Amino acid sequence: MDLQKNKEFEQEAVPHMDILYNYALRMTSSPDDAADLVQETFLKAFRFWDKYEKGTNIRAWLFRILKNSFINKYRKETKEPETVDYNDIQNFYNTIKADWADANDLQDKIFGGLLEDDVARALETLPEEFRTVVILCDIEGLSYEEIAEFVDCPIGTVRSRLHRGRKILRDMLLDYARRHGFVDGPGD
Amino acid sequence: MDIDITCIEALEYLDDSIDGRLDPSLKSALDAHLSKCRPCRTEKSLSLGARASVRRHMKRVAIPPAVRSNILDSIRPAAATSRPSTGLAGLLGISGWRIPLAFGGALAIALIALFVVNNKPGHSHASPADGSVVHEALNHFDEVLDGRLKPDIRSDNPLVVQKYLEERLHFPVRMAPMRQFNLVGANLTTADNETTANLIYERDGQIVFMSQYDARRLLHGTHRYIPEPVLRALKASGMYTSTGKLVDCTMAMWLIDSTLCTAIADIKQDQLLANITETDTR
Repeated sequence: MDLQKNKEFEQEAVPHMDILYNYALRMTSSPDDAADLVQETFLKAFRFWDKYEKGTNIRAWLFRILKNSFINKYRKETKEPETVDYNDIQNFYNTIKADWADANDLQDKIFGGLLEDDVARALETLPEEFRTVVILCDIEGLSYEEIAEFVDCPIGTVRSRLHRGRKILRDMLLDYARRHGFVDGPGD
Repeated sequence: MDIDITCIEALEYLDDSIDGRLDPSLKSALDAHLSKCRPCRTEKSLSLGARASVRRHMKRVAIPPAVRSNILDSIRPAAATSRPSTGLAGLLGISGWRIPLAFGGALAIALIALFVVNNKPGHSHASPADGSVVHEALNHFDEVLDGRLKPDIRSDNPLVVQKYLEERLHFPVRMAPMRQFNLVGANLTTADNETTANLIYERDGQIVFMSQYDARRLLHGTHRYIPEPVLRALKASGMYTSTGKLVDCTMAMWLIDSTLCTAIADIKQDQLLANITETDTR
């Protein structure tokens, strides 16, 4: 019995360890916390393996266990979101929209100089429900349908969270680019 | 007939369009709008730029091998009382009947290798640890089949595996994919103060085991060496094959620049070569 359970678990659940670790890493921004979360997820999944309905989406099942662990453990400790001065961003935005003729050049100029830390910090400050869908879609490359199954909500909700999350993220990145002085805009 | 859309509608459709989820008629309306509206084009460019920046900086990483091992170890004790650990064999989905067969196969391979490659008298079931890279590779293949040699990193992403290996090696690893086998993972072994990269590929329970060595070191008089017949074949044709010499597995060795690659598998020689020649050995 145990033998069968162990074999099934190793064949079905273990191959998804990397994607869960990546998600945990992006949600916690800490390799240690991510490792703890994935460990907890796999221990719970193993313990409740008989509750997993065979033939259904194993990745979504594991993901939901991880997400619940994350919420229980880290939500209370979530940092205050970094504040962005939206007036500054709006002015800056209007300036580049009016002045920039070559859109491709604009992309390189603004985002090309950003560092990994900038992107990680921007992602970290996204509200959790937006961060989840942005990570799953734009980093992990999952479809809207699979994300909907993961987060257990309708596709329309995934879509609107994704659009909103991306917009907040983009504004954050624009703000970093402006502060780094990659583009001319209203000064600090 | 083109549908006219406003800037507000264009911004609403932009994300769906980038995600390839926009209805074709709306897509052409959006494209028509973008072609004549610079602010919306800029908006699109900013969206694409931000997304590319996230993808560029937030690359996927493999779970650290130590974390993976901890997790697997913490799961396994639950079943340890009722079965012996099958190690890698279990992870690779090799069923119970295969393990004794694989072990017996490896035994046969090793005995033949003893006879064919070096003719040295030696151990009863393994190739001697005499520094021959052929013996070393056969021994490692044996260890992979019975679960003693496990991957330190498990990933089917060649870039992830290559990065992991090259951070720990002083020579380039060749990661061109096997045509029909899937990458399972890799590990590093050390002998004679030299590190070897070992890559494991799998398909339907069959394994291709590939080792890679820094050939410059092997050719310059360390304890480890490339056997003379292999060296002659490499010099003559760029590839050594075990055709007709090993009954239970096949082996091929070839050089890419200064990296010596060895592949062993319990499939027919032509199958192995068909896979290898699809990589960057030509």
